[in-house]
Amino acid sequence: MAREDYIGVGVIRNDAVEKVTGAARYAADLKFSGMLYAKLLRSEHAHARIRRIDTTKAQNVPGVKAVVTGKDFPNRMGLYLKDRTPYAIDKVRYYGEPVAGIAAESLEIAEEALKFIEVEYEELPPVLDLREAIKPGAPLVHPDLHTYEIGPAFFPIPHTNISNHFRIRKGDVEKGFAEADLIFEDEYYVPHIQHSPIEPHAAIALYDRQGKLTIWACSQSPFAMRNILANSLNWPMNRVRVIAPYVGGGFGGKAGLNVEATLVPLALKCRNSPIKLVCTREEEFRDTFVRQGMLCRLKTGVKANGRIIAQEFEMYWDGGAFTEYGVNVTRAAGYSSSGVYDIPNMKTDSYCVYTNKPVGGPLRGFGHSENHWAMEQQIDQIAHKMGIDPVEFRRINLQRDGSRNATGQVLSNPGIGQCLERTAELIGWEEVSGPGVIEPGVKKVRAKGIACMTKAPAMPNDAASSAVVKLNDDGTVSLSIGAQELGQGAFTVLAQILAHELGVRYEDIKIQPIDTDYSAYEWQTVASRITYSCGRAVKAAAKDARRQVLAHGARYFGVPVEDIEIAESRVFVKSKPDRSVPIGTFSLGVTLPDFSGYGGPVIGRGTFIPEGITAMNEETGQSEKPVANWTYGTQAVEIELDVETGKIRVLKVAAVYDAGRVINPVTAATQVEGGVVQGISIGLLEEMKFNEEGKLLNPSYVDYKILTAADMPDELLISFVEVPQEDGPYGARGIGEHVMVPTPPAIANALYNAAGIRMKTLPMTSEKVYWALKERLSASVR
Amino acid sequence: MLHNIEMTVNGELVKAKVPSHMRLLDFLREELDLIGAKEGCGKGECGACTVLVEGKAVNSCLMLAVEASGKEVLTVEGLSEGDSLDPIQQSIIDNSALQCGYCTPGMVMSAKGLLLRNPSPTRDEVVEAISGNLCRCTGYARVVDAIMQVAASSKSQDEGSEG
Amino acid sequence: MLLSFDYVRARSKDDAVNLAVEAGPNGRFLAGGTDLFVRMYDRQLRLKTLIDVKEIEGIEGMECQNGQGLSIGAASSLNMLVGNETIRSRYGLLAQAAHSVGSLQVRNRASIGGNICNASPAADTAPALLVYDAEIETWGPRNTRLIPISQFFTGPGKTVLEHGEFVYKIRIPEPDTRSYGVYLKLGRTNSVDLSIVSVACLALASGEVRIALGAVAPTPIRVTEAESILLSRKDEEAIAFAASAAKETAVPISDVRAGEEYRLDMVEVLTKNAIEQALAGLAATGEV
Repeated sequence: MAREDYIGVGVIRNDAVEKVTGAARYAADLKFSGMLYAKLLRSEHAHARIRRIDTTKAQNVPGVKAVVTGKDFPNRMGLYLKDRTPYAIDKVRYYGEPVAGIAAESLEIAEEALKFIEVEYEELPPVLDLREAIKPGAPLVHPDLHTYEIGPAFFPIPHTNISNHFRIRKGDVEKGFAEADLIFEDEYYVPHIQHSPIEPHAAIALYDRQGKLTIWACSQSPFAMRNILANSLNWPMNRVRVIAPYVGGGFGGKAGLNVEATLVPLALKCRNSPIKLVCTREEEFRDTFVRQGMLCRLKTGVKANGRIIAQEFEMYWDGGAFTEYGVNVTRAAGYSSSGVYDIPNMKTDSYCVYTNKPVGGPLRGFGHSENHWAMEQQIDQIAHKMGIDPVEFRRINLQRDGSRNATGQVLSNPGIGQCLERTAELIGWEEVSGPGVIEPGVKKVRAKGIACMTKAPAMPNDAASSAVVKLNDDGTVSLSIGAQELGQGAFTVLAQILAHELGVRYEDIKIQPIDTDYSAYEWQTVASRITYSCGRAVKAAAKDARRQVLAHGARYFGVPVEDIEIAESRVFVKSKPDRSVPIGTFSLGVTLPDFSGYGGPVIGRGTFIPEGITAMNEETGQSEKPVANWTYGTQAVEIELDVETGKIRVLKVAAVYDAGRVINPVTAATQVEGGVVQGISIGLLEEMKFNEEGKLLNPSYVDYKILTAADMPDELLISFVEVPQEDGPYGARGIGEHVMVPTPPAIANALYNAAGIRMKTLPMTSEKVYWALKERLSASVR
Repeated sequence: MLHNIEMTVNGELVKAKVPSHMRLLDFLREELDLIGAKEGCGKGECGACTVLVEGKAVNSCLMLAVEASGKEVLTVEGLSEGDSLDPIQQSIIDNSALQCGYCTPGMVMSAKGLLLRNPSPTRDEVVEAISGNLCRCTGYARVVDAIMQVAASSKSQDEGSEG
Repeated sequence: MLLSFDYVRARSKDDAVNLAVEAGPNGRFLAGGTDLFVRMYDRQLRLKTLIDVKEIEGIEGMECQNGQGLSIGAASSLNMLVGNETIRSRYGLLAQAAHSVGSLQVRNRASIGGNICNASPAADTAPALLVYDAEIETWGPRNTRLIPISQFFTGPGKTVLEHGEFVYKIRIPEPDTRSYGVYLKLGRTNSVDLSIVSVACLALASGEVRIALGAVAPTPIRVTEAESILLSRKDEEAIAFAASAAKETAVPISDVRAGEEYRLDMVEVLTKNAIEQALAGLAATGEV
């Protein structure tokens, strides 16, 4: 009998049957007796003072149970910066901000009653343009910013719209530029986009007679949600409970605390009545987190031999009305600002800027899709200028063993070199010698482009994981974790680790739905950290349970503990394998031959916290170990450009990531597939468009298009590099976010190689590409 | 206005009294507790609410319950019986063609509608059948593969029985 | 969730008209509902009564008798058109246009009558019906009338229909000669999208070439200037002239989907390609 090896095996997902039969329950599927329904009145101005608000008439509509406004919950809340309240108080800061909420017997009554709330606004000049927002004397979105509570790693500039200024000062950047033979400088922009999970946000809140507030929510962060809520309510944490069923896609949009907060003052008023809120797709687009826009200026100095010697990077983030979470995006984009390159002299300034736009927050990639959009294009621009093949130019500058990244951290054997080479091989890279030229009469052209990436989990240094393993009487296993299943396959991979480590059958493991009252603690399911961090906790918990089972076995069989093994849910004596019993024999302890009991129920516990991460210096951003780990990857694309219309079609994608160790090759591949398609979608189509008043013009799939099945690439070539992560389970590190980061710049680079045009603003819509093509053609005629 | 309606849902006759404005989606989810069909957009753009009416895939958010009266409705719950899954469901599992699962019931029903009317579709026809079902997780390729496999295996079975 | 309204089912043409007159301005006819329910869901439209016309005899289905042309019941779903052998073989352009509407699920419900009654400038079937010289048979308080499709649309969302009048059939005359049609649509995604620009081009063996445009004017339009250029000549230069004439005729707007200038240039590109493909197709079918 051998221990089943579950590491590196593509087992079937453990959530598949539930999901494919429609049996899986998501937050919007939950229903309770006596349930009330909530609807929110939202601001129709981007920036305005609330002069008067009268809810009396709405209160009197039959069926209405409660109406609340900002004054009913004045405590500020937020993950890193406490800058927001569930409902606007005194002024509104974006078009769509909740102004009042209604709980009623039916959704229809709640909606009809909204019309009876009277609000009088005094319009204020909206801050919509990033460049204007940072000018001295600009109207302030948060005049009281200097009084807000903020985490230690963030540096707001009082009496401005800047809520965080992150800095890198490495080497001597002026000297570096002075020594450079070529200096290249350009500006890049990414617009606001939306996560667009197919499941809109949904939550139910109940304030019961025990004085306990329970929230059922589609959440990536049940524990963070509990923390923020208890904190803002100033309650003991055991009076707040968050229950989180399956999440129908997160991508960062369901991290932290968001729309759920609007239910809290309603629940406090309607004691013992559960209140349900389900976002419409319009609300999902505008009133949950969005990805901030980002405008940046990037300047690079290069030596004649192709070595980058200096880089100056200024990023301005269009953070929106509240930046409680967004401040950390700007920090992450700052400390990763060398990308995958070894740059001796660096100066980076990343500014989080308040504007009167929807609330910026985490989105898959967390600042890296944005800064790599600039970096990975500029690398190609310089390569072209110097007449060096873009792959070769990358080779010259890649981080190697012993290189120092932007934070001065010394890197040990980064996997990027292998990723780059394998990607080039998979896509069939041929040396690129100059911009593409379109011959007259040619209607379609093809070309390849490449881009690299790196990202670290952007999380507090003490972001921890834990796990509890319980053996049931019959030998089946319950795993309690706070990590969430968002579709990425976390439950599957964690069950594999448990099965492997404990020696039980994968099929015999069930993961308990997350309930902060009962589940083991997890910081949040974000930052591509679950396989790495929770994986370590599960591994430790499994080892702990295993130790107990082995001890029970030794006692039962009367042999030394070293002679006991567990495999396929059976415990046996190694030297006499026919002496074996099902593992359930020991779940509750051991019954000895004289029928006396020994031991007790098997419960394994495991915890993990990445060790040795130290704060970055406030002035320089330097640190010996600023983050838990770095994941590297490379993608290349082959595109076809329709010269007549400007439409880009991605034909082929090659993607290679250093996963450290692939625990499940199938779920790892599916992460890459989905990420690449999301990356193409963001590259070609996605943009939230606002009018001059700050109103979102396309809050629906009608005019915010995402890739459909008819738009996918013909071929997707995926491969993994495995340079082990020292403290990862079996060497594993995360890849979930990384896989969509290099896609847009790879397409942009391919576009240049196809047609000699450079798109510095996302998305690369056919219209924009068409005009760029036209300009290029007329320039070449001139 | 209330209407007495009568329809077959997953093979069972259902009688109810519903208001005019109740959508088929609300009727299935709220009245019959068939939660497999999801509301993703309410506007027929995402396909998460797809069910079959008279064997044809429709967005149940764009149809009234009263309009379905007298008709045969099939939801994802009607595809499996106990542990026995529809071949499409099994193939989606085997191909790992699902992630968060929110679009999956709609995707499965679109595939079912296709294979009912065209048991051996081309790849393009499969793409067409599911291009009204948005998915943010999978990138679609595995879903198409999964459906193609079902079509291929039913075709080979047919050939086998004929031979 | 939809807000409350009353649903009534019309049993006959007269019943439909009476119910509509009774319902007054807050009543509306319902066929597939794929556009109406979207606007109601968005709260752009609040109605008191919906009159379902789908059960009126003859409003669903197709009839094609030799010499009489094609008669399509207005409540026929777009997928019925797409799947109909006669339409595919003899009115292929209409099948293509119907096929390009929304998703498969939408086409299973959306009706051809609804597609034109909503009078979206981007309605996909409209350019096809325009080049086939379709006629719209309506029933209303003042009895029945037959309206040439070219006179049917009056502006975005507006038609010549009077209150209480509904579209019963769409009649397409028998083509006098062999023809080949091409429908080209430029959208942002390859499926389930509204047109940025669409072009229908029908080349007839008689030498006539008919062209209509979608999404580039307040209504779908025929571009007769372009057509007349092609009456005598069909060489590369004439095609370019015709495409340029189509661009001259177009008066698009800028919106979230595309800018006016881009739409204008795309009219020229798509028109040129549609003419070339239609002429090539006609020539190829002639060889058979």
